[in-house]
Amino acid sequence: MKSVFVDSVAVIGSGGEANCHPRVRWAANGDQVRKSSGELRRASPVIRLVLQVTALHSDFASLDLSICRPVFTCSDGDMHVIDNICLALKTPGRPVSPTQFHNVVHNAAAGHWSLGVKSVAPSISISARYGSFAAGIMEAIGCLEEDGLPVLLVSYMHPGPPRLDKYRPRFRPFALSMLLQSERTPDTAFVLHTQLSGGERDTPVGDPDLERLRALNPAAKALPLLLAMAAGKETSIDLSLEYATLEVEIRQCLEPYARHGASIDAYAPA
Amino acid sequence: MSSPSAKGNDLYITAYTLSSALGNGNPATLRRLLSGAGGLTEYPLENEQVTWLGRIAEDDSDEPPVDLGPLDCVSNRLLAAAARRDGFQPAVARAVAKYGSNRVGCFVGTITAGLMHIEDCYRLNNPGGDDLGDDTRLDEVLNLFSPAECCQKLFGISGPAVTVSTACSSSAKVFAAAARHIRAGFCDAAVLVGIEAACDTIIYGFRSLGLLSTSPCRPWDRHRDGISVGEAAGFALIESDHAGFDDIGLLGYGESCDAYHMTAPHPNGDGAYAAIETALRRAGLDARDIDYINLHGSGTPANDASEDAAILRMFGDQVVCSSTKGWTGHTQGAAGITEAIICFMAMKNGFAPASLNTEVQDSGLRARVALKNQPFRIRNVLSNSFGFGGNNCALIFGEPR
Repeated sequence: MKSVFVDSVAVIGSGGEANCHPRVRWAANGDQVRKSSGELRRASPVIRLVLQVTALHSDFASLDLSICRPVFTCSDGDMHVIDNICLALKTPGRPVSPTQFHNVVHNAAAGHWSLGVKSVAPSISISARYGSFAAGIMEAIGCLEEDGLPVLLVSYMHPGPPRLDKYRPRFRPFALSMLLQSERTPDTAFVLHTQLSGGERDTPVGDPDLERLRALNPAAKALPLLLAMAAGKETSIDLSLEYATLEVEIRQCLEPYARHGASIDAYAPA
Repeated sequence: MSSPSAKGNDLYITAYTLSSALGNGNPATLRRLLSGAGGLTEYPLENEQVTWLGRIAEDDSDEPPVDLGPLDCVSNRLLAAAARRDGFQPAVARAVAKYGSNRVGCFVGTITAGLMHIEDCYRLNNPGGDDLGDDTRLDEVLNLFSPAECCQKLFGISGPAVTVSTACSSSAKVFAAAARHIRAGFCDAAVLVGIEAACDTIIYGFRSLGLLSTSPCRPWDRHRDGISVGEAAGFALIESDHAGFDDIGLLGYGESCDAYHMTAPHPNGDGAYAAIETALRRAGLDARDIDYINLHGSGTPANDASEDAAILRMFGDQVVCSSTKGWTGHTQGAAGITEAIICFMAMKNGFAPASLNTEVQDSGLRARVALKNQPFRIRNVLSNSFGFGGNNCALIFGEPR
């Protein structure tokens, strides 16, 4: 079993906008976050979503996010950029736009984020298709054990243009930004106890509309975890990977910490 | 100078195979490296210009191709063919028998996965319209996880699987990601993969940046004018346990981010320097312990100048360096593992490969670049990989300790 400590979480997408835990901020729509800068307006919808969720997070995280190791996880590449380039490639002369080419790499969103906050910490961008969020937690655990630096886990997925999206079920955008640490601090909000097990299982969410979002958008597979955090509930959820299941048990930390003296073991699963 | 704690952290490369423009499999690759014949060939671009590409040769195996089902696409076919070489599949089977299939992970580095297939869907179907045809497999082929799923099936492994896609450092970072997963206890061994087919997005994308060489690329040369795009499918098996006499140690790795520009490197090589420094520290080695450096050496004026600055600051001008991209082309997301495997061959066979096509070194660059193959004993090597987004990775391999 591996445990990881959550300082705070920012979310953009449907689900838990109201009645949030003090260390969870949840916006239904990225455009609510802050007035878009020129850079944001020019960015692709995918990069804009990432910069919005990290901006929301930086407003209340207890650490400067630029000192964290970024782990960016997203199932797909940037479908808008892929569409734009593929259209250019069938035009005479194949006039690919240099800006589009900059952004075709999977780590474009991470690159724009690190440029924006001047972060020189090692940065990784991964995909594990429908298991991308859980794979991000595992990579984050690996990073935390490696050097102890706090990890900024950013999991996101934005729909593509209609030309590509008609080949799969439609879904809405979803993104989260989670600050993870290897040790408990006074600001730790939750501890996650994680364990890999065989088979592929997922914990559904009750609301049919949200359940559809959870099932179709790989970033929204975090919904049962996020809803539990937002509601201050202690529970266990399953996150399927493409080869196994990551079992995650959520425990609250803020209130018990105030009692002092309790060791981390007190929050281990029964 | 190695510290006991660093030694205790070593992981072992116990099998590897490379298919690239230098040939299919390790013996063919080594023959080409020793003969001095590079793998780049002329390729006409649409606007009557030419560039040079490092294409993987047709699979000359007698065995029938593997049925890849819905995962079928050029890059996964290249993977399936390359996996058969050099006893790699039996080596993975041995690891599966030893650790269990769910304890053998799979870490793939790629930029484009099956993007070439989607380019074809756009080109071949209904020009100008929205119909991309009935073979638009987004999840199975375009998704970056596609080659990872393909490798899970090829090798019968079900441990942690993920695709790392950080531009041209992707398949260098798979060594680091696998090391983290092994040390965190998620697996005991892992198949490391780099795969890239030369698709038009990459070729015409680099043209749009003015970074495509009009001749076989010439890293560090005074007339260097950009990259030659290459293809590669490379595999390495990494294990927590020593497997045999021939093992190579992953002694250290370092990662960093430039935070300078999306595509241009930091002019002083600060990010590269930071990655190298971390790799040395993690390996418990000093700069003087490195015998040969396989440069990122893409052949663009800015990249080579930036890396030269980092190398000089860390190592001075005495360590033998070369870029092997003149042999293979820049194999993009597969470059990290391609060049790691060339380093393994250099160590096993006692030579530093030349920086092929480099004729006269740029007078402004001072790293000691080998213009011919140089025979000498190589114990520890450094391999650099730097990518868009300022994403840097340095790997150190050596004799197991």
